[in-house]
Amino acid sequence: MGKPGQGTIEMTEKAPRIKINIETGEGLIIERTDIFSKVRQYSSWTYNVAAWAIWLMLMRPLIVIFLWYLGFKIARFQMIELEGFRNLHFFMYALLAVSCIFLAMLTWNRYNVFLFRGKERRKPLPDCTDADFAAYYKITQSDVEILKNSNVDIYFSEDETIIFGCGENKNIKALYAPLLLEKHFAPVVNTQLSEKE
Amino acid sequence: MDYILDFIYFYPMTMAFVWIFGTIIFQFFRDNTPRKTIDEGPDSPFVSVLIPCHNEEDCIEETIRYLSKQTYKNFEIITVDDASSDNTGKILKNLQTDFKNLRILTLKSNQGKGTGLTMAALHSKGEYLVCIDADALLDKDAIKRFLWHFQTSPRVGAITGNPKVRNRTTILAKIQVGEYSTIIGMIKRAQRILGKIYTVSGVVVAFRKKALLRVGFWSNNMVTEDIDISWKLQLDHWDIRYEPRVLCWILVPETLKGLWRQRLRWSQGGSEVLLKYAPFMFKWKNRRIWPIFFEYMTSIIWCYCMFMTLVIWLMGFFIDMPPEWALNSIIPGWTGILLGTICLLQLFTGLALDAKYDRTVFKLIPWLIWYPAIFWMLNCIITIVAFPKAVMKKKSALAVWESPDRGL
Repeated sequence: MGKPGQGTIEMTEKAPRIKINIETGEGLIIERTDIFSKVRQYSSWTYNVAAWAIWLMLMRPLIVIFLWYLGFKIARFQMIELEGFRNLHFFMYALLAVSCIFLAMLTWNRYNVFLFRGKERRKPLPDCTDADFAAYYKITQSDVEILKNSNVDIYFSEDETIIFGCGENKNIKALYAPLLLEKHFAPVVNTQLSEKE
Repeated sequence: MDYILDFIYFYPMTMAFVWIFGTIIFQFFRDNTPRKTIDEGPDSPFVSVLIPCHNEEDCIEETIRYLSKQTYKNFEIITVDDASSDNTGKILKNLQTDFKNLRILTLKSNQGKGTGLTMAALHSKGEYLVCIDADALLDKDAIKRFLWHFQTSPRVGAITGNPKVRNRTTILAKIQVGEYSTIIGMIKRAQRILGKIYTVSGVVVAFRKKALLRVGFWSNNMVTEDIDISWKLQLDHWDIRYEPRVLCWILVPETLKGLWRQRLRWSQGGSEVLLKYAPFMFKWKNRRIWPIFFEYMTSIIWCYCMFMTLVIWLMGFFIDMPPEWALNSIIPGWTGILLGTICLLQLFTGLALDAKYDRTVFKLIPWLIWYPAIFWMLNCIITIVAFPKAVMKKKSALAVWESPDRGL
């Protein structure tokens, strides 16, 4: 976690985190400008005003078009003659392109609705069973049952096995090779990895 | 050079319209559709809520207590303490006295979120897994809304929710409130219209366990396990949905360092997924994911073009560039105005459509003016740094995590 005082944040001391009141929802939104000094609070707003000023400056020609219609001539001069956005055909093409994007997306959406709505092409698969997990991790079904009902400590080793410590000296050894999934999906052989102590 | 400049200006403009129109179509045809939530009865499915955590002593208790507000009660909570060095483990043990449906898995060495979730899935009793981060407060109707999708279509492998930012103290956090409410939500809506989703939000997502089993669960070597699992599922032809009504209140980084680390991880993760699944794109049966793949690839190319343009412009100060490569200025003229206008249009469309889920975002509109300047540029720089990292990364290296920045 970024420590107070690092990066852009400067705080004199770490204030305790506000806890949410579960019943009333009070404290859900965290906005703690009070933890900053007045200078910091005002400077944040100063940056913001500066950004708006820059933005408005960039948008100036557009504002001229909307607010003072006579400025159309100036805008035209800026757009076509001075800066030269090629020609007015550009905007026609742009409008056409934008309309095409909309029509393409709408058509694609309607096509998919036509193709898929109310039709299930995938056969419903049965829910996962303990047997599925037992086969995947190369353990027994009773091991899976134990794992589903315990607090477990998990130990990892380099040899693609993991050991689940389920308390009361009960350990379960399982396969864990996420980079070699074919080992997990291989058919179960007679000898299970599982060993209980 | 003109072609590159055109690409730099027109690519984001074109994509902005794709996101805007996608959002509008989604709103019109999907988001306005009244949906029933399922009623809880004796045959209601059992759900497992999985919470991986690593050094989360500040947040974890709040997250678990908030789950008691769920209107759907037939669920268990499985927390995975991934070798935390703080009091996370102790807090979880204390919580077990209040929450009988809470179980704790303790990983004895730091293995990363992907492994943590995989372990939790093995220990879960429910067929449907709701995964949230340790700082995420899940909306009271979330589980019911997730279940509706699973129960109405066997094709649905995962559903991602709508993260909302809780902390709004610094400018960075305020901008992210807008980003989550507008850009991220808009992209997900548009991608749903296109058919495939680039990624679920790891902070709030539900999975069908059978789908996960078929694809071998989460990878342990990808820095963004959520992007990877999204692609795995979709390449196995599972449907991933976006449900904006499932709200989840999250904490975001509020320091530049924290934000940089988070975004670098996201970008590197995206690039890793792009490289990993590129060979699969040559198969016709995967054609529906092509748009997402090409969009991401083009975004990376755009970042490098942007960077190259800046370098060429700077070189012009020191050496005489050939006329076709000469750049007098990089300050945008009318193209900049167009881009700015379309960017604002995108922001306001997103806000207008998403504000029904969180009215407080309107208060933050003045701060959103920073979004294009800071985030486009920041993301551009991050992508340039992240892509080589993804290329050079050792494939077998574990993607472990560090203590996240959860804001102030």
